[in-house]
Amino acid sequence: MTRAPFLSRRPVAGALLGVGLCVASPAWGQSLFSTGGLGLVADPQDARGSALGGIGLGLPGPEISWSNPAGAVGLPAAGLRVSFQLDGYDATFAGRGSTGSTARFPLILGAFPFGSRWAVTAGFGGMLDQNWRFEQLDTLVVGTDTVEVLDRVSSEGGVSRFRVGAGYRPFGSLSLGLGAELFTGGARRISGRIFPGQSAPACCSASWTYSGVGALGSIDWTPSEAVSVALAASAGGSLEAEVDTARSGDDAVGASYDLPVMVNAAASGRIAPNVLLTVGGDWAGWSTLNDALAEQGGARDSWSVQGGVEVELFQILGQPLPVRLGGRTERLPFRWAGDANEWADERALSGGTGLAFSGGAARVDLSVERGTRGSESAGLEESYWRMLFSATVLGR
Amino acid sequence: MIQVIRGAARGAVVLLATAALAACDNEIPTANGSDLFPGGEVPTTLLAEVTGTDLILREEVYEGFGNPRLAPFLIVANDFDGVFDAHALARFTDIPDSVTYTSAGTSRREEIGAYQGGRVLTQVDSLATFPRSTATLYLWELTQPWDSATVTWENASEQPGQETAWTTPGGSVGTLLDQAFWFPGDTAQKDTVTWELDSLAVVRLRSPDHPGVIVTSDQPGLRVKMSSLAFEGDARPAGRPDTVVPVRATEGPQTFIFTPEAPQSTAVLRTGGLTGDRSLLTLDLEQEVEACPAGGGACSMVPLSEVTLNRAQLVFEPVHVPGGYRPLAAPRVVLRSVAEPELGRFAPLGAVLATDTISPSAFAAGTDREFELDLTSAVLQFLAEQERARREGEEVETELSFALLADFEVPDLGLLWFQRSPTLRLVYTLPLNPSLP
Repeated sequence: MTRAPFLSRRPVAGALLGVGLCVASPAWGQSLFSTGGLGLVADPQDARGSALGGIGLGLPGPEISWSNPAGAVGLPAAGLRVSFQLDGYDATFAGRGSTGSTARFPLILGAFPFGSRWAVTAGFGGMLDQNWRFEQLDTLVVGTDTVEVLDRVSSEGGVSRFRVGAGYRPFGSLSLGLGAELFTGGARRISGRIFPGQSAPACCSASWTYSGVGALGSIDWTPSEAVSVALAASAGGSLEAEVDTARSGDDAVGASYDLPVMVNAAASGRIAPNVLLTVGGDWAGWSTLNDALAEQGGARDSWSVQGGVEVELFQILGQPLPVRLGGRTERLPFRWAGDANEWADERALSGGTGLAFSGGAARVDLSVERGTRGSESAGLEESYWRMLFSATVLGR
Repeated sequence: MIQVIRGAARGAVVLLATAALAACDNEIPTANGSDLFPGGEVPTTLLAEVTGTDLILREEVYEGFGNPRLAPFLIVANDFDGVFDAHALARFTDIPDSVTYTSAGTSRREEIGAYQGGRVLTQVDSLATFPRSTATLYLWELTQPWDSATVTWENASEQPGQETAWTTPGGSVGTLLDQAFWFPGDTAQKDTVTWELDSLAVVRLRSPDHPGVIVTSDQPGLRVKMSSLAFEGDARPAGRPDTVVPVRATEGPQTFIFTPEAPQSTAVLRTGGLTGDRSLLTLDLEQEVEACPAGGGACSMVPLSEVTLNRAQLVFEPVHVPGGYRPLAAPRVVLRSVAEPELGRFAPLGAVLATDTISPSAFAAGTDREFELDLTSAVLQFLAEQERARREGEEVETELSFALLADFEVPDLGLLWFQRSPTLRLVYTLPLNPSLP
């Protein structure tokens, strides 16, 4: 048995430090739907999967996959995958509008093969985006003076996951994966009135720190050279929100949420030497939180269906330059602004490409996604652009 | 090949690390509308006003922190506000007997043979003069000696046992030396008033026994504030009578006499003026304020420390200052902390708690306006200190003591009067309780 060497430590440490600074503190803000329920559910993705409609597993060959630790079995060397995401949205609601943009690292994941049958994965990924802000300008008359004030309720933070997994190949084409995840992050909420000369309300704020553990498992099966199938599931246990007493008022209380079972399945098939078809689906049982989130409009099970095609039409520097197209439809688990509104869905079309360097030791992928969320009946309509860059490096 | 792979890998991770550090800045999705606030809960801001014995624990007025005879300015007034008169007195004791000049590149010092003439000059403080229109000022010779330490409007000297009245109250006027004009805004004159003197007048002024000069005005309603007088002479050296050398003299007693004396009233808080009045106040900040939620519900009284204080103002009511002692320049009203108010007039002053400029017109007759002094920072700091003391189990201070002072850019005659029992106006917001779903 030969042991695959790890990535050179210095550049990996630099990347982990830089990326970790952003990922470890989940300061995102991609959508006004982050105001509903527990926030906007964020699925850590890489650019190739995003271009194919949002598929996260089931692609041919060994893969560094957030959902599928079994997919890392068979990698020729240790690898690191990092995704960098740019979002911009344009929302309308009740005759009002809002736009915004953000940049974040939704995924950093390392994979370390041990021989040809074992692999270990570890990484950070986002889960719940809880960055939002409601504001209202108002005017107060104080004595003979008129004072313009800004009322603000804001939330900053979210839930991230640190996930470790191990894959094992008991048979030639079947790999099994098991893993555990640690929920991290925190939220800070501020409610108050901002007077002239202030940049934030003088009162009142509360902070929580998230914790909890979950488990995951996956199966990766390659029945033939042309077909790959993968199935993954995670069960969250409970997400504990503990009050940070040093940064909170006396009345702040903690919370606990039973996180749902989440299932991802996907398959890909090469229907021609240069054409790959993918199809996938996700499901998450968020309805278990329906009662806990009743005041926010409840929660329902979410699902998503994705499909895509990858065609290798061109070559650059002797490497294929694939063209990827995909689409996705998704049911969001949380309502916007309470149960007076209908549930919201999300639809997106995506495209992208990628280029491998150094004989496949490094790869850069790019995807562009255009989508819509919500509807008039959902109280909020939002269109968005999303660009995702991924870099994957394998070390020798 | 391995080198190529390592280079590519390192390049990729360094690029990502750089991008990571550069891209951490994010915009938070923001929606406008209070209808979106969770639970429809919007902040409630209320106003409370406290005054009288609910607020004021101590209110005392002290004077004697200034000496009118040491005032670094002179006042000339005639029937200002219908009552106030003032004349400026000066005696020049250092009009030179010798002069130094340069002739053919050589510096020479000689006796002064004679003065061709001279002038007396002063500079008018245009911001503290009323009206701001042309003023006529007369320079006279005094005919009666006066004691600079005790001279008053009625008496040339009030030395014990040697009291000497002016032959004419307000100073015994002799020869008119000159009349001069102050033209406000004149860019050539630049607020300087000049009285010309002939050679004979200079000779008289040089005499050691000469009682000096007096400045008056006959313009009704006038009050002029000006700098000390200066003498400028055109000296002719004894050895070079064809040469005129300018000399200057400023030494000698100068003061102003006035009538009536500064008004007194126990019904007001006083500050400023020739005697440097100050008022000492102690506020009770152990206040409770009403908490009435905007959406309805029962009101309750809560300690000030349990709400968010947005603004604290001490609201004064300026009072007309009689006797012609109202300020003409815009003074700053200053509150300075007092740590030991029980020491009364000897209580040392601490840091500035609040300060603001007040319009002098607030003290004129017929005006009715409030003067709001922003105390927000001071009260917030006080509440924070209370909170710290409670947390650490120390004795909690509930009283805030301070001195009310007037601060003119240049020391001034103007007195500031305010009604007793100022009002503490508090603007506060009721606390909300942010929560997770």
